[in-house]
Amino acid sequence: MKQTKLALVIAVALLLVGCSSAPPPAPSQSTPTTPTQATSGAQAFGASQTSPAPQASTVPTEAPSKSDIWPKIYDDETYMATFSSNWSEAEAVGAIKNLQNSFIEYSIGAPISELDVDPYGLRAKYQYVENNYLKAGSLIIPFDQVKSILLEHFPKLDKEYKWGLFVYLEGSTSPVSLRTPTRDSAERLGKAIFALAKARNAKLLMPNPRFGVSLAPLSDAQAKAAGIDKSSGVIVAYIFKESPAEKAGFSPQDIITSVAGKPIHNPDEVFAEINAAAASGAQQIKIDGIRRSYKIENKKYLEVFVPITYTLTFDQKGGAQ
Amino acid sequence: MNKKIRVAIVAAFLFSNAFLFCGVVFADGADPKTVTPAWIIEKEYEEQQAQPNEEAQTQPETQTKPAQARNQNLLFFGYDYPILSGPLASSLSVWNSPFNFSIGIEDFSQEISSFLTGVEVEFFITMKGDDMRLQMNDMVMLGYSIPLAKVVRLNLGARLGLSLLGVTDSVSPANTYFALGGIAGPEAAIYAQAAPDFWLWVRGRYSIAYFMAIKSSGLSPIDTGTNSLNCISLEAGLAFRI
Repeated sequence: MKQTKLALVIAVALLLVGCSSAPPPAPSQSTPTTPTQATSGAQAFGASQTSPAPQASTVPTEAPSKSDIWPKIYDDETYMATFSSNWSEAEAVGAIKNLQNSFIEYSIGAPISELDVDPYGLRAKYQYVENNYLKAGSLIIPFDQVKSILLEHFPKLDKEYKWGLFVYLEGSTSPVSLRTPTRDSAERLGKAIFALAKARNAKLLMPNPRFGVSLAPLSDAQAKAAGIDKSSGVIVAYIFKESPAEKAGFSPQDIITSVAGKPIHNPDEVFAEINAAAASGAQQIKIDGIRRSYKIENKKYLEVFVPITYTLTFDQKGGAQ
Repeated sequence: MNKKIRVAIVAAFLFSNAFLFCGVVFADGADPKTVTPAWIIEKEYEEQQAQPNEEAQTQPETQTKPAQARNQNLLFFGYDYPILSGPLASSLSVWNSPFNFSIGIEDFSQEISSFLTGVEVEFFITMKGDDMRLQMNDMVMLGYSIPLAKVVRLNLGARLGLSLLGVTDSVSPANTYFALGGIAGPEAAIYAQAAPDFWLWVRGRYSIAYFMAIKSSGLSPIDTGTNSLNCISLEAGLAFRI
């Protein structure tokens, strides 16, 4: 009996040793690759993220070999918002009218002087002074042509009205842009436009609430720099704030190579795999990718591409699909 | 110690190390939180460069203070050749012990001189018929790592930990005991990088352990005051970045 107890003590000690010696977090470096200079660049509204300061052995004497082949990073932040609601058309129209004094035109920053809104569209006029001349402008949002609505935050903007909406329309690359003083007013305005666009059967392409990223195919230069085939992954153009992707640790410029172990060749496959996993009842999914980073060697920044594994946790609470 | 007990110990040992190795072999990519995206480093560098020179002159410490170096974690394992000495050695070294090895993890800079930390488990196991001698040293390492050349590092330090000693001797039942002790000693190791994530290493350690009997007949060497064991461990093996 005593020998059995003795064996038990030794066995527990061994098990504790084995478990306590389990590998620590995976490395933060991988095999360096040579940075590639190229010209093409992905365009996106990027999310500005906070992160630990770069670690260095000594202060580098040369700048990082910044390249313009990667998606651009912007100061403004795009938030995860699906704007779904059960508002009727009348409620939506009323909500926009009630907000007339709470939103301004984006670039001029002029308040709306005239607002005409009905279930078919929003028509607004604004006035501003330039070089001692009174000028006027207008904006129109035909609800049946609304393609997408994004909730924006402009933390670096040296003006009031730091929240707003980008409303993308069919056949136009530049959005109708509005700024609001608060997030709440931007969200209510977005909900109203979304409800009316849906009522007009607009072809809406809203962010996938299960992920919350904008993806683009890899360019030749990006693939070459990362040392992979062009069809072996897709690149993250930007991350929506407060999205599952942000919670999972995704960053703009990350490359996604596989989802749930399945190789990825284009952006649609990523969303298809995520939707399929969520539909099967999974709560989490593993996504493999590559992150561009730097390590410091001989006082120089050396570009490295580090394999990353993300755990994407699904938030199944509502949201447009 | 009967056969079932021996099998239980060996099984636990194999399981514990299988756990460790599975963790390494099937490891995922890095945690995204541990890798700073390049664009953040570029942005911070630009912000640092954009700071006025006056500010740089008035705050020299913040401008020139080097950031913490990146560390690497290495999983190492290798063969361990113990040379026992000291009062307890005479009762332990009567058996040859071919099944000796060490396994552990060390963490030190991959670029510059740095402090190093780590854990190591050292096993000396001998089975002979129904008899068995098992010594397991579970030690933490504190020391300093010095780059000797671009791919060669010298790690110096000291280990401190616990030692388990179990002896079953059917020929001399009085010599059967189980003891727990403290172990400490200086250590030197040389790591040579053979590939980006692969190292060869050799290690030498002198350790002293003092034991107290947990279970014994009352006539074991430890009970009679012969309770210390000195050991020179000569080790060599492989290491992988994890």
